[in-house]
Amino acid sequence: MRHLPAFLLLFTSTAYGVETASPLWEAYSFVRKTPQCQTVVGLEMNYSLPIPVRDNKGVRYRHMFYRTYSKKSGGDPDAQVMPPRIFAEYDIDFKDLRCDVAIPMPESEPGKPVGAYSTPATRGMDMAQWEEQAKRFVALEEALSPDFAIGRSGPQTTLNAREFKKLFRKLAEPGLRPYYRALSPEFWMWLEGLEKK
Amino acid sequence: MRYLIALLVTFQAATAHADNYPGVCVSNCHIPTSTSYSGYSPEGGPSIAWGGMLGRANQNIRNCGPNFVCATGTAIVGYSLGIIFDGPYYAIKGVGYGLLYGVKGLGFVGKKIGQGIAYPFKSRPTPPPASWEAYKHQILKMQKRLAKKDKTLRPNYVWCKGNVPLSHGPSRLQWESRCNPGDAITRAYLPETVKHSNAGEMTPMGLPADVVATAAATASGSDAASNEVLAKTEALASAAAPADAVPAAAPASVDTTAPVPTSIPPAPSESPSDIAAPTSQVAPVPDAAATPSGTSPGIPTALPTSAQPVLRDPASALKGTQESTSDAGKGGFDSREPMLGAKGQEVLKDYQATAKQSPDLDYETAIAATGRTEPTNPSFGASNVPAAGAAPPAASKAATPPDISPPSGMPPVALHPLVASGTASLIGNPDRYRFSFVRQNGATCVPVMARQFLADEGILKSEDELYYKVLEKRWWATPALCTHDRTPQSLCNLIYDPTTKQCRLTSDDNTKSGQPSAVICSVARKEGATFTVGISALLNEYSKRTYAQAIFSPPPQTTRAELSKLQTAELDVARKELLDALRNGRNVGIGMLGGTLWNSPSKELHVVAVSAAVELPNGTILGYYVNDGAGSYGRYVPVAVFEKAWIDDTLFRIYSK
Repeated sequence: MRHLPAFLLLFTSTAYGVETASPLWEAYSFVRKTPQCQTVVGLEMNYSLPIPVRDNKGVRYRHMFYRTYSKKSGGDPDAQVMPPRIFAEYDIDFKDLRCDVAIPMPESEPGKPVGAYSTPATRGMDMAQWEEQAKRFVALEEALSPDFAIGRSGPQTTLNAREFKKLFRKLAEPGLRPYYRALSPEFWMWLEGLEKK
Repeated sequence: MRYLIALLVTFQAATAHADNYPGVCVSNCHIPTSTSYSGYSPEGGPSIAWGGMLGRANQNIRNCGPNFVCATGTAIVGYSLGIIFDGPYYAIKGVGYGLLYGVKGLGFVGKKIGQGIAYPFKSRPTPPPASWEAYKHQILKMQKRLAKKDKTLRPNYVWCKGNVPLSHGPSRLQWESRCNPGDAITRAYLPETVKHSNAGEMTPMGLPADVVATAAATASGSDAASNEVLAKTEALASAAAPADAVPAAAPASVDTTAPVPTSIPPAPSESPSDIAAPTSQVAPVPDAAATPSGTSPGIPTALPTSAQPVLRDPASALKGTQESTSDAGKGGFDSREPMLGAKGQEVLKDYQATAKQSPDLDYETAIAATGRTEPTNPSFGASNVPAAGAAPPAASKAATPPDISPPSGMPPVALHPLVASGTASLIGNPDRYRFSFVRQNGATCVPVMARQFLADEGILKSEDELYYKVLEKRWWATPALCTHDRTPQSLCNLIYDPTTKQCRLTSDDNTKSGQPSAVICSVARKEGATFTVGISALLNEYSKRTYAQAIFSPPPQTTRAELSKLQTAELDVARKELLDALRNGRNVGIGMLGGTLWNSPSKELHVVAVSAAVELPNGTILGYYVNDGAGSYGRYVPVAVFEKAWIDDTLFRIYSK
């Protein structure tokens, strides 16, 4: 009985708080296809999940382009990730999109993989399953963004943040975790702050 | 004791004024006009220069001029003092040098002795072959060495030895792909292929046109059938080929014993009889029991058991070359379908049996029903032909082809059941690139696709060769070589020098240049990838045909909402272009989202060659056959998956004109 309010809150957040498909997902999927990125990003480059950043223009999103290294076939779950070197930054309406953003990143040795590509959860997923989860992740991110922009917190935000982090651990490339943090240190600090409150 | 004190005083003074004496002058030098050998200089201090006293004596003697007495006295005193003071100096110096050079000499001698001892045990680099003969021998030597190391590789060695092709025979590509996979022996230094005077051109498969004509005219005796088949196929291929395209008959002319599907509907540029003629006359496989015994309409089943193996390259094809008949190899064809392998045979048999029982069964379901895990391509994970330098392939594994690239000369693509039953038809030929397909090594989907297209017009290029061309022309994205704090002076641009085969980095403003190194090329290959713009440029670099490419490229200020609409509209255009190109026998490649194509969580953009489409009589397209360098050869992709993967990418497509 004492878990009922929390359960109801969680149910509400899943059903009404966040939509499964979001404009951010569309924007995120299109970034690679824009002329700005086509001239910078080569074929066979993978791209990471988006992470929000905030500045005086509001909330924007960043993701990384990187290569995977595998001796097997394409889509190999045992692939390793190479350090990301290209970073895109965009707003949800593509009014300001750049694919050559310079972001300080952890040191990495050229030509050496930085870690695994798959998590235990993604290892067995097919593309549809992954997309479903990734869409949910992006939708949560979009729901968190207004709160992140003004540093607001609340029960719904905390619940969304918790699910967001859970999905991040499930979907994000283990080898790129430090790089995700470097994409937007402020966002991760804000998320950690929500947990403490 | 008295002498000792005098000596110490002398030494101290000498070190203090050493600079001022000949032989050790460093700065502010002067030649003393008068000397005193009492141990004190005119300035009041002792004037001893270690190692310079004899020089000073000489100077003093010259200063005496014609005065004999002065000179004699100076010589006696000066040389005596010189010997006393310079002797220890040179003795110590001499011992020092002696020790130094002695040690150096000993080291050198020791090193050479060591090298001499190690020589018999050390493998020496073999110079790259500069002739076809040397190239063949090196390949066979390599295969022999591999077979010695691993007994399971012996069949491959025997096959390579028994099927040596001519330098520009039709089976060369197939032989090289199997016996020299990955270009372990480089052919970069081989002379250019000889062009023959008759028409000045090679046939599509690389055989001189005049030789083919002669072969057809002179074929007789036991070789007659094979010569006729080869010559006719080559001649037909040449005649039927449009000026800018190589017909799908080309592969059939190469491996005349492989189970060539007889029911492949010809492309519009080919007449049905042209296709049927060679394939219906061939297949002289003695061991019929070992061949696929199913009755799929796509696979010949009644094989003449009395037929003898034929030479891959007929003797008549030797005209104009310096090769002898023995060079062509007497082994003929491997009657047990070596290119398919034992497991491949089983997969194929299972498929044929299932397809026979349930003709309406979907192709993939039919294969899946057999329990095989690689339904779309029996060749992968099934070949028993190991690659050079690699362990024998393991058993087939779901969605994970073996690490090694299977040899080219892939087994023919098993046709879609509806095509096999005549309900649907093919646009294009799924086996068009059968002898040039290789698995990619790194992010080289573009070179692998280009290799297939170029081989289609008789231009043989390895994956590596094409990769380095991409690098040289700067069509390769190399962000890995730069850091986030990029400035105009940062070493960010990669320059590949084809003469040294090394890469170096330069700054944007060209004011700085790094050291050339092959390591940089290697890093670039691991972390970079081909730019889309480089694809047609690479093909146009080598091809006699002209390649054009198109991509979904919305204006920069397009809003997100408009993008979806524009993309959907472009799909209709792209689909029409693709089918038109296939109908006209052109080379076609498209970009696809790897994750959608492989059904795995990956967002890599990828390029594949499209060889054919399956079309119902009402014009509905059921699916496409693609050669995926990171996946499998001749994979049938249902239209829904195909178009989703295509639109998930950038709707990129490239066609030969």
